[in-house]
Amino acid sequence: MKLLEGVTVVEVGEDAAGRYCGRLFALSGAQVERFAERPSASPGARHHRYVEAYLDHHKDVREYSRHVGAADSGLLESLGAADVLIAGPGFAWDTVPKALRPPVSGTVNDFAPAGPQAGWLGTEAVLSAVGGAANYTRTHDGQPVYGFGRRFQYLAGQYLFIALTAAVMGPTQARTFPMVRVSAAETVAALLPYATTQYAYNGTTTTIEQSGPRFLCACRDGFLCVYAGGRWADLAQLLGDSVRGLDDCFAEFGRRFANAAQLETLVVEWCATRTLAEAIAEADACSVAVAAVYTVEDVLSDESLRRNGTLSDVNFAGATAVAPGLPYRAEG
Amino acid sequence: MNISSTPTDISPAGNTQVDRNPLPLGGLRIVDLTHVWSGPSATRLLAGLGAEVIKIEGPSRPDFLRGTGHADVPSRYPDQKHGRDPGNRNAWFNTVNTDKRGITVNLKDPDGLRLLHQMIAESHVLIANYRAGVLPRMGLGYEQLKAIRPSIIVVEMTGYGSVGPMSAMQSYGAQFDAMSGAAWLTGDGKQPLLTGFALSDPVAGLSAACAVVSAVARLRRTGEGCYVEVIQRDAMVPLLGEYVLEASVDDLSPTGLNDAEEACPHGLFQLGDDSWVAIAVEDEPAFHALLDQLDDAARAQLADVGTHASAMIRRDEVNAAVRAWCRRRTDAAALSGQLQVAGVPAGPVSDGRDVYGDEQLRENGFFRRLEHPSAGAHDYPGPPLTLNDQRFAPRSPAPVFDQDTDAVLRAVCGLDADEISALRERGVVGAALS
Repeated sequence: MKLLEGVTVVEVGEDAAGRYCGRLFALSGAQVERFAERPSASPGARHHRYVEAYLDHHKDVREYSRHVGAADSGLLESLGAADVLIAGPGFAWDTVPKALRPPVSGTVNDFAPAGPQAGWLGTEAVLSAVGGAANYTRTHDGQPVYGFGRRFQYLAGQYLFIALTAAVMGPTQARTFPMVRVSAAETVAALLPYATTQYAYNGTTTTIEQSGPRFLCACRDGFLCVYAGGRWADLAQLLGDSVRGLDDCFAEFGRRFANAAQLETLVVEWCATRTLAEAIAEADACSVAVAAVYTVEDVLSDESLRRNGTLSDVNFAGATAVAPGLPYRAEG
Repeated sequence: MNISSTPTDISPAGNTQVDRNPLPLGGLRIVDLTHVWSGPSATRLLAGLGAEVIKIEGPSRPDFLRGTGHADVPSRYPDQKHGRDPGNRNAWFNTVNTDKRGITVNLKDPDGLRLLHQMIAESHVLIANYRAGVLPRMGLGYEQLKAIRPSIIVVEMTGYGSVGPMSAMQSYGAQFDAMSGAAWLTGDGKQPLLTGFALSDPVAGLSAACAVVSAVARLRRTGEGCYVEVIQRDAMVPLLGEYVLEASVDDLSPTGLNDAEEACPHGLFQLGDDSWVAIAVEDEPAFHALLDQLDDAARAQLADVGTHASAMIRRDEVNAAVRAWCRRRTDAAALSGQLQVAGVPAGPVSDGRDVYGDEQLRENGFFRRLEHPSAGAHDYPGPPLTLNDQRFAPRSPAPVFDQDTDAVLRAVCGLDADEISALRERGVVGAALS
């Protein structure tokens, strides 16, 4: 069941966040007309064409040049019949007569358009750093890590999708909320909100209590993720003799966090003598949450993702490829 | 079709009361059975957008995020003191449950379940993040609830899906992160690395919020409800969609820790005062702007690089020069500002204190001060968006345990004071937080 069938969306702009928002509308059954003004890809950036294809799947893509103008490109005609306009941050709003503007429009800015960082340029690494995410994720030798790809930009697009969908369908107030703005930098801070509340509550900036006792450990044939923040009795049963007599260190939640490094050593030793399958079976029997650490290739070969409808075949340059869709499905 | 011209009344139970809530989800009532982080983060956003969210906790089973009492981690409490009622003072719970009403009902008691059914009859959405299969076993499956309210929307957030060998397994954000491919992409290619803060939890919450607003949009258009399953493990995968696409037809382009194929220099660089700065140069103008900002030593190192195209080919050399230059600088915030003014994407690696004091966030109203009855007055983050340039959330603090039970039972279930009192005496509703 496509939940947004009958909705029409116009998308203008090259920012990943806005385009991801348009992608969500398209996957939900909306008719998405994209007016594309493509910048040239960075030299040697083979990966770039996959980004372009991924963001444009399921859309009706038309060429557009801001130099030609909205009227001549057919954009105005499309806008007059649309329910939603997703526009990039540089969109020339004054070229669209108010009467032709759809009920709701939305934009994602890297940084909110007012304030000392208005106009700052945000890439994934910059957004992750400024919003606090990179500080959380550290290598064993303490280097901060930003992540990869365009995750936070896509998530900013997801916020835009939620607000636009809520607003365009508003009870009786068409055009009551004609403009939605999302800040990508704020998106990062919003998605890890505990750090700021913790600081507000008690002035501390420690992150161990938020990262928690979650370990990636090498088994004999791959890596295992172990969540050690559940019931201590379960974990103690799993680890057996190696933790006997150590209840004082780990049984209470606060003590377990404080001794997370010691616990990690014990879990690493436990994993090292087992295969992934053995470790998962033993952990499941003790109700300890674990999971194999997947490569992207592992994701592709996981049949459950296809069965769930999360992965499906798409066309890529005339060939069959695989891409994720929505992580939810509706039935009535 | 311009859908907003044909709205469907979604005021509770289809009554004719005119909705006076100006927010986009005004008039929408959501029964919230979610707990911990992923589900509550979804309903927090929906409440912020105007929905009436009724959060239900068990009298003897409060939300796990309220903490483990006096044995809990002190850094989650005001002044690092648990206080007399730690369950109402937990920073995590109080952050992710703003703008909601909170009630306590024992759903294992037949009368408690009957109360919930009465609430369903007067609501539009039920959302839960129990393990797969729990909702139907509780008498809260979609078909069961549809008999009570035909247009009900049921959103079930399962860990690994409702079918298959993993359906009943315990699931947490770390597992979702690990099974999405993200941990390997985050690491250095030799070892995976978990995102430090279980990003998968709020990501699953955002996906659930997407599902709810989409289903509500359809309800408004057609008057029909539906069942939606949100698979939390799967919610991370679309965030690396381009990598999945690439791996399905080709070998993945390898990148090292903090690298990005489309930018050079790129990374998180340590300064002389041990602060860190992110620098990401994606095109020629930014590259030349960066060259202008470097000192003589760094410029000399890069004298024959010349263009961004060349830098992309000689990325190790370029990153090394920038790394050395950064070690000769201090103050990541000041350096970031200098680079940004010059046209170079850059930003300081910020911790909780930095983000809390960030002038950009402050000036734009990202934080709002809320007075919580047990925790006191503190600033809480809101959603990263504005409607007509106005902030709209958070508006009210997270509910203390059992805060709204009587009011909701009166307004939604139509009970009088004597009836509520009798239910309290029997332990069907209400209780003190232990």
